[in-house]
Amino acid sequence: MIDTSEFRKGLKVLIEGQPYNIVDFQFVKPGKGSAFTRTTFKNLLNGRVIEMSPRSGEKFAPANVEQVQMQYLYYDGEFYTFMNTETFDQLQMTEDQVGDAKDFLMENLVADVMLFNDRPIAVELPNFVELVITYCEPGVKGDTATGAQKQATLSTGATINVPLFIEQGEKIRIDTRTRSYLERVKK
Amino acid sequence: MPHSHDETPTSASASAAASASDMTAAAPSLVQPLPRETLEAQYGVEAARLLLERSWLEDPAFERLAFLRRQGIEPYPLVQGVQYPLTALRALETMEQQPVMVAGRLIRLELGDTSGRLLLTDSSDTLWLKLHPSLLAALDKEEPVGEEARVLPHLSPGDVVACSVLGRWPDVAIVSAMLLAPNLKPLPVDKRPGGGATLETLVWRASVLRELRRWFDGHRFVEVETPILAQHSGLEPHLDPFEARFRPSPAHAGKPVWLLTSPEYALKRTLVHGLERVFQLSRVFRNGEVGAFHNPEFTMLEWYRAYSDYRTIMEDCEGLIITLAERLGMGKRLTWQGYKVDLTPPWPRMTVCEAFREYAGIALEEAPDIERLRAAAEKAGIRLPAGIDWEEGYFRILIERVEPALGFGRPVFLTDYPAPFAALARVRPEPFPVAERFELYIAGVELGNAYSELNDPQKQAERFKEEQWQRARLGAPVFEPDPDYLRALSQGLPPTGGIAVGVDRLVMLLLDLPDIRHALGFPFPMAE
Repeated sequence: MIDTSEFRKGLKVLIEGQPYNIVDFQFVKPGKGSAFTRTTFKNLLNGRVIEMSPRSGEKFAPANVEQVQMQYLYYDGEFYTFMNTETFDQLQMTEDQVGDAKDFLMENLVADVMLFNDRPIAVELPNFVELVITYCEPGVKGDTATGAQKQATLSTGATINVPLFIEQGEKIRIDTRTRSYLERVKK
Repeated sequence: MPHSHDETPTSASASAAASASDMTAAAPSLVQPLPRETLEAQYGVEAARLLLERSWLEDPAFERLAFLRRQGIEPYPLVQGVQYPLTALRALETMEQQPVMVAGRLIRLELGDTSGRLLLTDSSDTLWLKLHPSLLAALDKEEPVGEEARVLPHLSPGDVVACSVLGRWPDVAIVSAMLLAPNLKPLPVDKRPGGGATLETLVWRASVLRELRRWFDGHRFVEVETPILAQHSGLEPHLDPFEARFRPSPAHAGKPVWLLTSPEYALKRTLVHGLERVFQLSRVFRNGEVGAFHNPEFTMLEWYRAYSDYRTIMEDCEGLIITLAERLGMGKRLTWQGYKVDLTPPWPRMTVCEAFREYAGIALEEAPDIERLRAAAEKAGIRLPAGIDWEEGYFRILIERVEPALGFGRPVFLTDYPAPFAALARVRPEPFPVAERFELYIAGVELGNAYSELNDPQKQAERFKEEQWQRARLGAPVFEPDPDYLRALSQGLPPTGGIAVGVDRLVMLLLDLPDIRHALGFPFPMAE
């Protein structure tokens, strides 16, 4: 069991059977009063953030959450299949479980899969991925200063804003945290 | 040169082995440990482990010391004669004939064939000082290099260095350089000696303490020092004092001593015996409290006024804090973490009931039990967890809605606490009994707690009994109440107002520091 005095950012605990990540916490104690730990928890299943102030000394069960490096193999219309790069074990995730990460999942990408009680609950992408543009309006030369952008469709089917000079068929680098274009990748 | 070495520098040819053998001659225990079994039998397992532990003796950083000694340089000479701060070089007239010695930390070193200079800093100044041609010539010579220049090729930034300087500003030059203390490990650039307050904050903090004492002196308060290591602890249910052991003696057999959470009992006893205005600045200790506003060891300012009550203490707070702000050059306002607070008195007074109505939308006087409090909280959009009592419900609403709203724009005195939170304050029997107690808030930070002191020994005895039971129910250790305090009240404590103020939080507010650890030179380490 984990006491509130052992709280730190990133610690994963169970609340009503669901895994939560401790985002932030603060020791609060009104004058002559009992101590609380004002805590921000993020639900790892649905991403919802809650604020709670457990009494100091209250105990939480640790959540059995681990991150495993896995390679994305394919999507069969229902499940996303990943393979453990060490054991070659495979597992399947639903669209819900993969969440927004699906926009940048291309075959053979190695990503962190989060397991809760050995079941996959989320995918954490590398910070940067490289993807090919499958469709966009023809490129416009010059005018790189104004920062004007256009929409482009990626090989994964997702759309993203890119600068005007980008051409269809080019490979670009993307920051997955901000979901934004970073630069052109030279062949 | 006006200095002397504590030992004759070993000659350049002396080997490290020779100096190592000197050391072993002086301290045979360093190299001739007894067998582990013998040590364990004699001193115990843990002591034996510590006696045989050698890792910190063999720190690789020490290799530079051996190297320097091989060059004939004593890295830690005994030196007399550093008479002047660096900045004096800008003004001294005597050093045209007679060199003067200055010292400081070496920031940079430039050593060329025809010129060289050192950048030195101390608390007074930071100066580039060039090397005198005679020193450069000495360096150029065939071995052995003269003593005045010997250390130059072996200096590193960070070393503490002394220099003899000759000439007239700005045309001054180093004629002799000496190492005072080598820098073997990188020094953090942020100048936080204990990982907490910066040097600048420490200096400001000292000004706050000085001005505090000046204010109390000006108002004819006597500074009293009472024990922090005491025979009896307070009984506040939610405070956890550190327990210590006095070496067993017949008088103390089996009894612990305590590091106090507050020195209030002894201070009030001085009023019983005739002092009328007293204050104390002391370290107090509270186990288990660590966070952005809590350190288990902190500085408490307490003051007590006989023939007075909590209203006078409010005026003291206003006067004291405005004076501090003005003396620190802030005028009648302070800014803490972007929040501007106007200190012009009088500061608003707000009762606990008013504050609950204003900030939580809850009529506390109409919710005297947990069921009604829960219903009122529910209406106000606050969900209280199941299974808690009224007190915890009160504290949860206080920390979630009320405290975070207090003291923005202007400081506020939160006054007249419900009787269950009277602690050591007198209770006024109104329809809804309230204690003459206040807490001072500035920008959401609770700065102090004050009472019209309870001086009825019988009521105090009853409170102690209640607190013992509360402690038992909370699973906290139950102590004997301080008999000296009860006796003192029985002898007659004049009506008294008193307060305890967290000085570290006051420093946070005055110096605009976000975390108590930035106000403390050496904060308690917190789990990462």
